[in-house]
Amino acid sequence: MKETKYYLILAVALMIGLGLFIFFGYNRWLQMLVVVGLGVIYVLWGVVYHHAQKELYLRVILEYVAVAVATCLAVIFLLLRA
Amino acid sequence: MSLLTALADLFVPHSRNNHRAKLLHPACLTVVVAIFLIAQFGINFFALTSPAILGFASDIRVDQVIELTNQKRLEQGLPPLQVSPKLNEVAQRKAKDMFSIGYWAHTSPTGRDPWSFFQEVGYDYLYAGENLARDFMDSGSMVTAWMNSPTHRDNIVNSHYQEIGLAVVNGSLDGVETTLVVQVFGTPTPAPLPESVGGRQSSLLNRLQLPQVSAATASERLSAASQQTNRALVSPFLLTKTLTVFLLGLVLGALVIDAWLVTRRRVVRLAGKNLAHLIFIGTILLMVWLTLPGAIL
Repeated sequence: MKETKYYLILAVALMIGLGLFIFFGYNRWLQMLVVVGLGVIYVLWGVVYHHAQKELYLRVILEYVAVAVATCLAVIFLLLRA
Repeated sequence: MSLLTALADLFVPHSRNNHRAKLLHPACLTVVVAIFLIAQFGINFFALTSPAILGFASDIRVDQVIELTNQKRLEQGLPPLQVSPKLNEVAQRKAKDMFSIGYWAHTSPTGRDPWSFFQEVGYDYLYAGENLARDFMDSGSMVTAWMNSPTHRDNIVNSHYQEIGLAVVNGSLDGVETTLVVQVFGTPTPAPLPESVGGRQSSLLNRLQLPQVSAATASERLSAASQQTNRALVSPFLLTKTLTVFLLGLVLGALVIDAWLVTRRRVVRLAGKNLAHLIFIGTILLMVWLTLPGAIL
């Protein structure tokens, strides 16, 4: 149940981010800001979640950072090409 | 290690990769980022060394854009704009200036603002505005993008404007074949009053108000007026989008396989949560899918 709460928070944050991304469709820079914000929120979510599960280790944090950086960079470069 | 084993290591969790698909290891994800960056620099390099190969194929027609613009005005109860040959010339000159100097902005790197083009062709205005756009695939999506932007929308549905000018011009910008669109609006100053005897007519320009509307520089695709463009070009945007979907798809695939096998084998390990990664990457892929070519200024 507790895990569901964490995932629900993540899903809501991502949905809000997706909504903002669509809303700011006219401004590529604001869209990039939204993407970067989502990346930061995702890493923070990972830290908070794993801390709560008592399994917070550098290796785990690095995994979240790597996923966030890889995906956000891809979108940013795509927006720059658009 | 055979190629097959190496591939299995990338996607299948087992003892050799510490029970975690190797593609999901931070080091491997860094390699994915590196591949992506190298590809981007490669596209830029190719654009500079082999111009006129990379670019955007578009189908934007002046008459369509003007029709759609007037349609949006009619929806707001505003009168349609009349096409002004002088404003068309303003738009053409602005487009040519951007291609010749190599910029995409309302104000050129030399500090030249949009209003100087109005003065250059002798269009004395009470109100003036500018929208710019580039790399849209069709007129409809471009006008929609303008309407979604508050500043550009203000230009299109501005009751102060009476006339419109448009240029759709093709050219090479930073080595990439580009279509720039310049849309300019204006309201000419009323005809000057008859000179009084012995009087001296003052310059109309001195009586000009500052442009009422912020210069909305939309991404500019300029193509020769009324000219439809259909060129077989390799789009840097589509290349990047394809590469992005491919690489993120690989990571997503590794996540699904990893999650399925680990759950089935009931492996206990120290790693990030696959479900969270799946939700996050899925959202990002949705953003990628929603991103279409074309920009406005």
